[in-house]
Amino acid sequence: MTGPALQVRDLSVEIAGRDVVTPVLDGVGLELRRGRMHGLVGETGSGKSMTARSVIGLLPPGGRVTAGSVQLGGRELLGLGADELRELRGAAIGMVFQNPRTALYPLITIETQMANVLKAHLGLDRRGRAARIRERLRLVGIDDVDRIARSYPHELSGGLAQRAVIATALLCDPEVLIADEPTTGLDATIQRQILELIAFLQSELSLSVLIITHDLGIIAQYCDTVSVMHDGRVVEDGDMRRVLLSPQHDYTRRLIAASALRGLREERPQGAGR
Amino acid sequence: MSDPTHSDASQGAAGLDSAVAIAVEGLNKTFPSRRGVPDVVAAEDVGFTVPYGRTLGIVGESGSGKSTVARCILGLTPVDSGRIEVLGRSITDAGAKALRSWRSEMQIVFQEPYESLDPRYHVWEAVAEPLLLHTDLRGADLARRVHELLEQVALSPDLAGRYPHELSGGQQQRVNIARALATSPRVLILDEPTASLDVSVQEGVLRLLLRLQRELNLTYVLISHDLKAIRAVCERVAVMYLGRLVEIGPTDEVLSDPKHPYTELLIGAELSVDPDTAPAASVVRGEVSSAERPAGCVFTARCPLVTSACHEAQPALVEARPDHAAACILVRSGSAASQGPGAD
Repeated sequence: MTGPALQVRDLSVEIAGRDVVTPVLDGVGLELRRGRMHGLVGETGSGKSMTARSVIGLLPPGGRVTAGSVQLGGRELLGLGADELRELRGAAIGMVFQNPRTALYPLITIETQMANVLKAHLGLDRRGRAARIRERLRLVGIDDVDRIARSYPHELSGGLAQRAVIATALLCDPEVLIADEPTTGLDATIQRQILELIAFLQSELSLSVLIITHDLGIIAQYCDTVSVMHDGRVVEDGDMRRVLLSPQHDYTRRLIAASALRGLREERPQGAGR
Repeated sequence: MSDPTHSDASQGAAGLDSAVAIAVEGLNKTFPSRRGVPDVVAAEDVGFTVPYGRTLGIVGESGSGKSTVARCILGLTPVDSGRIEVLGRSITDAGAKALRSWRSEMQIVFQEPYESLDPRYHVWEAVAEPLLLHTDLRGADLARRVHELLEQVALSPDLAGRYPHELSGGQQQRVNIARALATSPRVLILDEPTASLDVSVQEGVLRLLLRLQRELNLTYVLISHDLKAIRAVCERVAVMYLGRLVEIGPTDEVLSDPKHPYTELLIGAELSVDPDTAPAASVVRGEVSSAERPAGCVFTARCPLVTSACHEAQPALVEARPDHAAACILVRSGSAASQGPGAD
């Protein structure tokens, strides 16, 4: 297949509250090419996470797609039943969310939760599952796989927990990995490790990665293409370097300027402060 | 040992220097072990000074002890040993009553703007509350002062009747800053004040803090993991790792010519919004672990330049340049910067 791994066209979503219906996405389109990393960047309320949730069929209560199309490898996802969507999630689409500790179920070991995913999607026997789990943990850079497999989520550091989440997302060889703020809340050096891991997996497994972030630095250093979202719309998209180096939309320009915090340094008290 | 770049022996105790607003010397704080969890050393031999009207940034990862140091400065967390003087008064010798009466002069702004506000108080009440507690202002005088504070933080008076949940994150943080300023403090501790705000809002809040500092001659300690915010606001920066101060000096110099390998790695991990400015090629290994505190330098487990000598003793802060010190044995030979970790 040569078409995009994931294509969203003209997607509109609204959320019905008690008295009012709020439009949250308005004609959103994006294209994730095979084996590439596409960034979806925006601030709170821009609709970036809502776009990701629409793709995987996990809209919040009251949420409804009013128009548009979401295609995974040419297959339309909108209108699929709950069972079909569940089959897609965790199999054809892997998901990594912001807080690894809440993504992992606290009362069972890493091995048990990974085995549950395998039971739901792949017909492997017990030994096959154990081997697959260890192979995936090794893939995400974990050395002592037996100890980590036996651990409970709270026994892992934030970085290790996120690696375990990524290993779980990759269990069934997904074509697309959706990572929603995968490093927010992690320390700078760990953030770097996790992003390097995702970039490594992308090339090693020819994964197509959709990364959702508020951090333009992640876009600038890791993404091939980008969509800038604001107020439920994509205001600018395209090749990452084109968008960041010669932004056309005023909002993109403002976001870049604010992210760099460059304008402030003239206001800082001068001198070393002795 | 305290920051050698600022401990002038002729002045004796740090607080005697009248130009110094905050003096910390030999601060130690360990949180004792709980079941299965080893002791956490949050501060070990930490020392620095902050002159009046200036900003010291403290940067470090989780578990570095930066927030504990801030709480100790305010007297919110008792120290195990060491001296802290703020505005010429000894915090470490003061009783609870004295600390309470001084609290109006030193305030703190926290990371979570919504959690810091009482959801039952609208903006006007939230800003009036500290004035009712700490001042005699009532009636029209009180109203005038609340109005003035809202103006100072650039909040429209139209918002005075709004409740916290009706405000944006940036507006909430401005209310917190107005509350902190209500009692005319001279020292403000800013604990990740913009970490949970959108980038476009961060800039506005940092700009506001800079303006308030100029207008009110405030002394700041800014705790942040964000080097961009540190660069924008602080003239000096202290880098902490596992409770140790590993480097301190002028921000521009420390962040462009770091002397400690950890500082260099921290800078290398920063992701520029400019696609042509790539981060350092090497990625620091491992994670911060307070569980296994090494006998020697606290950074040995992750340091790319580690030698056998590093395991022997915790290196002291040594001046690499005037006013710029680092706690690394390589500083003495002057080689840490030239063969930095980015090169491997």
